[in-house]
Amino acid sequence: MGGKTWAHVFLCASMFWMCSAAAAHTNVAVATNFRLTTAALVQAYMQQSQHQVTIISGSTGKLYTQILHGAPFDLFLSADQTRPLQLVESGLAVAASRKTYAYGRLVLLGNRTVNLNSLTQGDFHHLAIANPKLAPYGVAAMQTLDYLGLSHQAQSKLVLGDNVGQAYAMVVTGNADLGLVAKSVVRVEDQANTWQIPISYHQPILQDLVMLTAGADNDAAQGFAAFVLSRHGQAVIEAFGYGTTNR
Amino acid sequence: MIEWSAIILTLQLAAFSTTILLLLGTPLAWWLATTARRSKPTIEALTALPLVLPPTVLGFYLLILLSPSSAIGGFWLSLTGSTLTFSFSGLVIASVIYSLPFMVQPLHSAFESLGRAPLEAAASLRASPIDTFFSIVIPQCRRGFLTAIVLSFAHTLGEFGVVLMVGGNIPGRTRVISIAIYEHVETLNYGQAHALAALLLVFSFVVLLVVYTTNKKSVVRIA
Amino acid sequence: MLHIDINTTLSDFDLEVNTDFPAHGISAIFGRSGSGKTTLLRCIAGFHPCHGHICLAGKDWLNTDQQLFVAPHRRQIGYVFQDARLFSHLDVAANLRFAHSRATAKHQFELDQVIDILDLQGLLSRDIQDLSGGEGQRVALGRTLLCQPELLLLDEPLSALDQGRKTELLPYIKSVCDALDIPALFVSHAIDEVAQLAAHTVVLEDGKVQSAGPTLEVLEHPGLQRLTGRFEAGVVLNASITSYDEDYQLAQLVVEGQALVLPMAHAPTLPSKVKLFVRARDVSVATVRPQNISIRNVLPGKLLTIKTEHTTPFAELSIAVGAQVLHARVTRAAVAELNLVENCNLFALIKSVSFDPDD
Repeated sequence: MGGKTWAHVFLCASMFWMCSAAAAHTNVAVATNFRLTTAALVQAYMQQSQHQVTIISGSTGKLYTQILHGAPFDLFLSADQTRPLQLVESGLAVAASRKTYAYGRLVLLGNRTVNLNSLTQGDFHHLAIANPKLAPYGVAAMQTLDYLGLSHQAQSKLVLGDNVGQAYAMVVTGNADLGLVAKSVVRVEDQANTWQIPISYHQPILQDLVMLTAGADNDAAQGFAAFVLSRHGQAVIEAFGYGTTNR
Repeated sequence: MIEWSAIILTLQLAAFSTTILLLLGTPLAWWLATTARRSKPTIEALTALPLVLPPTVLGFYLLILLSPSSAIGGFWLSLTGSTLTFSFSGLVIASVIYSLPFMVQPLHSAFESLGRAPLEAAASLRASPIDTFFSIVIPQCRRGFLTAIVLSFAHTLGEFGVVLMVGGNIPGRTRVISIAIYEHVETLNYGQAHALAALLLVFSFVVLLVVYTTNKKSVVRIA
Repeated sequence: MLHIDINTTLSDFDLEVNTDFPAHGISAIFGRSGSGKTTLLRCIAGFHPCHGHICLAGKDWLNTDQQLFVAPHRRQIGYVFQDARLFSHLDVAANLRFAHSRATAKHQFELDQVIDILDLQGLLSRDIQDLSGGEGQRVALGRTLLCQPELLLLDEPLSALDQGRKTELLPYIKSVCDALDIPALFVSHAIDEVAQLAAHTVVLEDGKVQSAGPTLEVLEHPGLQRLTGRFEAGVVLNASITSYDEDYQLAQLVVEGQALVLPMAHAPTLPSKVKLFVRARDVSVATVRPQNISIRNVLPGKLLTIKTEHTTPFAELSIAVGAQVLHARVTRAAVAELNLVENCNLFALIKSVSFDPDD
C-alpha cells in the first residue's frame, strides 16, 4: 500500500485506541438482595457511559471473606454498614468512599395474602429467614421477632437460608409457610403475598458502599459509584423497594 | 467448645443413609449386572445422574420434590404431621439420592466381574438364586461391598450443597458438620472451623484405615 | 432314559438335536470345536435357553408346548465344568460340604466315600488357588458327586489339562462313572477319550446329529473322516497288560491270545485291562509273516471285506483278529499285487506308535 493509505490506517487505529482506552472495566460485588437492582442501575448507567460493569453477587458475608482473601473487586455494595467499616479498618477500602446508598426494607412473605396476624398468631410450621450470622437481613428479622416478643416461640420453627434468596426459595416452593426477606427480592407475581414490616420494628438496615483500595483508580468503578448515589440512580433504587436519600 | 450435636447428627445421617443405600442399592446393582432388558442403559444413566448434577441443583429440585405442596411431601405431612424438608428424614432421603451412585456403581462393577460362572456352578449344586446370592455372591464380592459402603458413608459425611438447600440449618436436626464448618468460616471463626474440620478428617481417616486393614487379611492370594 | 428334542439358535448355525441317551453308563457327545456340543450340554442343564422337550426317566425338565421350564437348581444334575469352577473363598473341604449340605435326594454318596474314591484326603485343607489343574478337576468331580445327581454332565473335563494330568485323571473318571448307576454325558473333541470311556456316542456337526449309537459302531462310520483333519476311522481293541519291561520301557499286552508290545514311559499298574484305538492308516498287511522288520506287532487274521474307493488310490480292509476286527488302509495297487481276496489269511502289521494311548 502507498504511504498515504498507511497514514490513514495509523490515524484511525490511534483514534480507536484512544477511545477504547478511555472505556474502563470494573468488577462490582453486590449483596444478593441488591442484584436485580444493580442490574437495572448498570443498564441505566451504560446509556450514558462507555464503561463496562461486571456484577458479582453473593451473601454479604461470603463476599466480605472473599475480599479479605484477595478477590479482584473494585467496588463493594454491602447489605450492611459493618462490613464496609471493617474493610476500611483493615486498610482494604478507601475511608472517604464509604457512603450509604440504600435503606433496606423487610417484608413478611407467604404463599397467600398475609399480615401481621399471620406472624403473631403463630399458625405456621416454618419461618424462613436468612442466617443472621451471615446476612444483615437475617439480623433485622431476628430484631423484628424480638420486638414482637415472638423470639421464644418462633425459635423452634426457624429455618435458616444461606441468604435472603434461599429463604425466599424456601417460601415460594411451599416448604416454609412464612419468610422474612428483603423487599427487593420479591418477584412481581409474589407482591400480593407480602406485608411490609414497619421500619420501627428493627434497626435500620443501612446498606453502605465502599471503594476497595485495589480499585481506587478505576474510572469505571468511580463513575458507577457516583451514578448509584446520584438522583437518577437513587430513583432506580427506590423503584425496587428501598428507602433512599431522595426522600 | 466443640459442637457435639453437629458431629453426632452427621454420623447418624451417614449411618442411616448408608444402611438404606445398602438395602436399596444391592438389588438395583444386581439387576443392572444381570439384566438383558433394553431399559438397562436408561436406568444406569439415571443412577449416575447425582454424580454429574451440581449439589445445589440437586438440592433445589429436592426442595420442590419434597415440599409439602408436592405429592411426596404432602403424603409425608398427612402421615406424620410434619414436613419432609427441614427434617432429619428429609436429609436421609436427600442423602440416599445424592450418594446412590457411590453405592450402586462399585457393586455393579463387582457383580459384573463375578460373571456367570460361579452362579452356574452353584445352581448345578442345588443352590437357589437367593442361596447363591448369600453364599457365593456376597463373599466373592466382599471388596466391592466394602468399597461401596465406605464411599457412600464418606460421601454423606461431607455432604453440603444439598443439605444447605433442604436442611434449614436447625441445630440437632439438620445442622450437620459441613454446615457448621461453613458458617464458622464465613464468620471468620477459623478456630472453630479448624477444630470441627480436623475432627472430621481424623475420624474419616481412622475409619478408612480400619476398613482397609481388616480387608487386607482376606485378600485373595494369586498363586 | 434321557430324551432330548430341542432346538436353539447359535451365532453360526441352529442347534437341532433329537436323540435319546441310555439310562446307564457313560455316553459321549463328540464333535469338532464349535459344533454345538457344549451348548447341548448347557441346554440339558438349563443354563442355555432352548425350545423343545427334555425328559429324564419320565420327568419333564423342559416342555415348551406346556410352557414348562425347570430351573437349573431344581434339576437333579451334576455338572463338571471345563474350568472346575471351585469356589475360591472356600477351601477344598468347604467346597465339598457346600454340595453335600444342599443335596436333597437320598444320599448315595457319602463324604468319606467320595474322598476315598478320588483320593482327596491330602487336599482337604488346601486353598483353591494352590491346586494344580488335575487336582482341581478331581475336587470338582467329587463336589459334583456329593450333590447326589441323577444325571452327570461333564463338559470336556480333560481338555484344560496337560497330557500328564489327563493320564492321571482318566482312571478316576472311569472308576467313578463305573460305580454309578446313573447316566453320565461327557463332551469331548478327543476321539481317544471317547473310545476309552463311552459306551454310547452321539456325533454332532454344525448343531445336527450325524450319528448316534454304540461307540464302536459310530467310530467305524466312514462319515467320521470328515470331522477332523487328524482323525480317521479306526477301531477299538480290548487288550490286557500282562507285564512291563523297565529296561526297554515296553509294556506287554495280550489281544485275543496274541502278544503285542506298547511303548510306555512309566510302569502301569498290573494287571489292567485297556482299550486301544488303532487307526486304519497305521495298519499294513502282509501275506507272509515278515522277518527282520522293525514293526513289533504282527497279528495273524482273516480278511473279511475289501472296500475299494475308485475315486482314490485307496482301499479299506476289514480283518478279523480272533473276535475283534481291525481296519487297514492300503492302496488299490497293493490289493491287486498281493492278490488279496475275501476270506484269505494274512498278517496285520501295526506300528507300535499307533497304540500309544497318549495320542
